Amino acid sequence: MKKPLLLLMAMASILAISVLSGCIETESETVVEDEKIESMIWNFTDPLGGKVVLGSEPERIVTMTPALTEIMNAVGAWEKVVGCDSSSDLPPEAKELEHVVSWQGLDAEKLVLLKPDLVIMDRTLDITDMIYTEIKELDIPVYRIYPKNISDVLNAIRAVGELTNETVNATAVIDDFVERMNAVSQAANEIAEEDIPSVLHVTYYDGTADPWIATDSTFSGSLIIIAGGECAISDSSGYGVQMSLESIIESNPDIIFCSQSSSWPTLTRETILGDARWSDINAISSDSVFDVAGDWCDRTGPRMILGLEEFHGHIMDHVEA
Amino acid sequence: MIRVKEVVFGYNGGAPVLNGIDLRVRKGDMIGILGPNGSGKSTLIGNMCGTLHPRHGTVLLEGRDIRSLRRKEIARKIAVVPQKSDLGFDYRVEEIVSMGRYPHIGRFSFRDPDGRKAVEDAMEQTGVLELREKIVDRLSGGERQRVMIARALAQEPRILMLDEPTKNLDIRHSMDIMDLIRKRNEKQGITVLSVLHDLDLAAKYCDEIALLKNGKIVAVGGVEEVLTERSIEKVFDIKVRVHGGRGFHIEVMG
Amino acid sequence: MRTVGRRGTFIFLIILLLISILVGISIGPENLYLPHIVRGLISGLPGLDWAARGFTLKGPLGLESHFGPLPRGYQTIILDIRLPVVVMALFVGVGLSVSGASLQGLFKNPLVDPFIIGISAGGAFGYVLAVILTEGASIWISQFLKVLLSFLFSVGTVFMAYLLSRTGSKVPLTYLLLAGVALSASLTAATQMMVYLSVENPTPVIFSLMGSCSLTKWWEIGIVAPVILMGTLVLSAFGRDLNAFSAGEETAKHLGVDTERSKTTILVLASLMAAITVPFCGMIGFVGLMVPHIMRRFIGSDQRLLIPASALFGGAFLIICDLVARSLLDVTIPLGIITGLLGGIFFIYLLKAKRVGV
Repeated sequence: MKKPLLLLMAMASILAISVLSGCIETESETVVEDEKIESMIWNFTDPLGGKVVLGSEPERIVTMTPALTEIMNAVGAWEKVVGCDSSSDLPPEAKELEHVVSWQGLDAEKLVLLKPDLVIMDRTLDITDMIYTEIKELDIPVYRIYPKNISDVLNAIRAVGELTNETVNATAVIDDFVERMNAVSQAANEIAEEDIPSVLHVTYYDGTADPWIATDSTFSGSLIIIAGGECAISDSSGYGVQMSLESIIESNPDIIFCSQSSSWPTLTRETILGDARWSDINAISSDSVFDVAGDWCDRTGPRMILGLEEFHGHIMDHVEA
Repeated sequence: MIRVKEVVFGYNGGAPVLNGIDLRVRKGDMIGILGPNGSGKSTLIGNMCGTLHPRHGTVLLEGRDIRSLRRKEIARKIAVVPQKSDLGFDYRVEEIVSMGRYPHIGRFSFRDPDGRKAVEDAMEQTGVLELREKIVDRLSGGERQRVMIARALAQEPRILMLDEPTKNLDIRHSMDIMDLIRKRNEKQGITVLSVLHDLDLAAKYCDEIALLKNGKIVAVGGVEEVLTERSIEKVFDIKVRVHGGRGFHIEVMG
Repeated sequence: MRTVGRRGTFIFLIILLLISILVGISIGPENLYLPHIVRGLISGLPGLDWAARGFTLKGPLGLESHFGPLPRGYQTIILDIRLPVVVMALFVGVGLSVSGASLQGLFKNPLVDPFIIGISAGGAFGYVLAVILTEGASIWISQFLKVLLSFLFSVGTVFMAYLLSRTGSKVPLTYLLLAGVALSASLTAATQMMVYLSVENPTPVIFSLMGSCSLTKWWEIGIVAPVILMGTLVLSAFGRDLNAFSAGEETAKHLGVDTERSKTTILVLASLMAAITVPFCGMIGFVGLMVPHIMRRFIGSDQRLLIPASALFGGAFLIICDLVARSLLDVTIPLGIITGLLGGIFFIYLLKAKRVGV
């Protein structure tokens, strides 16, 4: 079945958002009275090319990652969420909801009992498409995102707005995000080349095994770069990696962020400050080791802007000191 | 040297295998223990060397209850050549013979000068000197048995107990082994107690025979005294003709 | 190898160990050269900190050589990162190998590994239990409990196997082996269930269980080293007993071994030596199986020589395995994976080799 050209163009223009230029184009909704076209509006193609046929506005939505749950809440569509994953904790009510997925896998039976009109998921956590295939086989419409950069995250917010008929709210969230990000980016551009600090973001370390690092290819890495720093450790994996402490000592970062995320416990700056093996690193001697909120920088949702601003604050303090 | 008094023994609370055994072993004796399969020959050896403990009765080693002696003390007096001698690993002949020194060395002493000589003598007496660097598991049955006897001799025992030392050996090697044992008995006065299955061999080499059946000693004494046509028929359930005198041998009748 | 002789083998092993220590310290993300290593090591001795800073050596005839300070971080890398790892790998290698050699002799079975009688399964269970119990607790409490519980469960499992296999006043070795295998299977399943159901983020837990010597701290060596040194010395003195056990329990008795007492002593020491490594280094399998086996080919089966030889080779072997683990790829591969991989291949070789005596 071919999609009407109009819709295809609309979708394409929604996706064509330039983030680095700092301006997000907003597409004005075409009001269509024709019922046939009305039902067409409720058909989508997700960023992975999957066709999502809804027929009407979805009222029962299941979100499969904490970030998507947060986005639902941010665009004001929280009351439509009937189920989510086991790690979702914002809004706090998410903890009381039915949890259909955890790292152990999908609870298909629970999902069916929730009678969702739509499941929104992130392929990042389902790289083998196993859960996706499973849900498709249950004849439940699935909309998938697969964000690789901040622009993709903003697109995801927009898409959720479309899916829940909350485009106005979504646009407001995006506008706020972009505006604040532009402010950070502008201030960061003022930093002189030689003052750009090298930043290490440690996501887990307990002193018994090599630290886990968010490298430049992760979201946290792009936040560090926008916030005016450069990443001490580079790679192309896109994931957090375990990096030998020796390489970290050699990379000699100026700033160290320690993130406490709900899923990676027991790391605080005291762990690193109390570990003599880190003592030769610049960040330790200049007392630039900071606790940061892990959820703000590794959940691909609206709170990323908070993570960016937190990073930026620490980086600016360091530059000015 | 050893007194076995009214010994009754059974495995793990099962039916008794030994039913009241009395036996006296004197210094310098060479005793053969004969009997059909399952008559309790090996079990008797086990009781006499203290690895099995009788339910009733006692075993006295040089006048002392064997249960009151430490294993090391027993091993300095009694050496045992077991029927089976599986080794977990590839040991060389010399290493196996040296194991016989165990009861003579303290745990933290690393030198045993007397031991070297005892090991060399034992290997010489058993004719395994040239095999010293060979892996035991790759020797022939006869050579292997010699090594096991050498280990027992390296213990410098007063009593040597052997459980079917000629099992699975041809007549030539069986006689070599028995010659070797007899020589130790005569030259060093080692008391020998050996389970045997070959009546002729027993008659040829032993001074005394103990005939066992169903855990009881049927007859004990000199060879011609014990190995009579009647007693053999009674114990082994076969008809034989015994030819006495110097060429003592037993002829099985049809 | 017979031509070289046993003395030659021991000299070779000592040289191998020294070289592997040096190479272990030298190779890493940044390769260090011998002068740097020597100066780094010297600077760790009390009062000799100048070795890391710049200094001038004055020789006779007015000869002078000047040394600049060690590059930034080298002192820490040598003294606090690489040396502890190498020393820990050394002790763990010694411990597992000596434990393996002793248990193989005791059980008269060349396929026994210290972990087969439940030590690793118990340790893993204790470790995961500690992770769950200390969720949200401070890092020190959680660290302490991980060490304590994994050690207690390691030793506890062997003890349990011992109790289960006891019949009357005796502990037949075959029963003990079977009880160990059975307990291992159950505990492994229980551990997996705990990880599956209760651990929020299983990645670090699973990684820890895979075995690693990396980021060893000196106090950890302070706990592991005495146990392993003492165990190695005492078990060396039990070489004759182990030889006797290799000829079978019955023969051991005939030779004068107080079998029940020797068995208990050997079992307790061998278990302690393997169990003490689990809380700090996780499960490093197959070392205890492989090392004694290789040594047997070189110096024969005599346990009096096999135990010291296994100690030397085991130490060198694990240092090299750890080196491979941390330098083969960009990321550090868990040590247990390296030893497991080598061990698995080695096991197949053993099965295929004609001379295997099971």
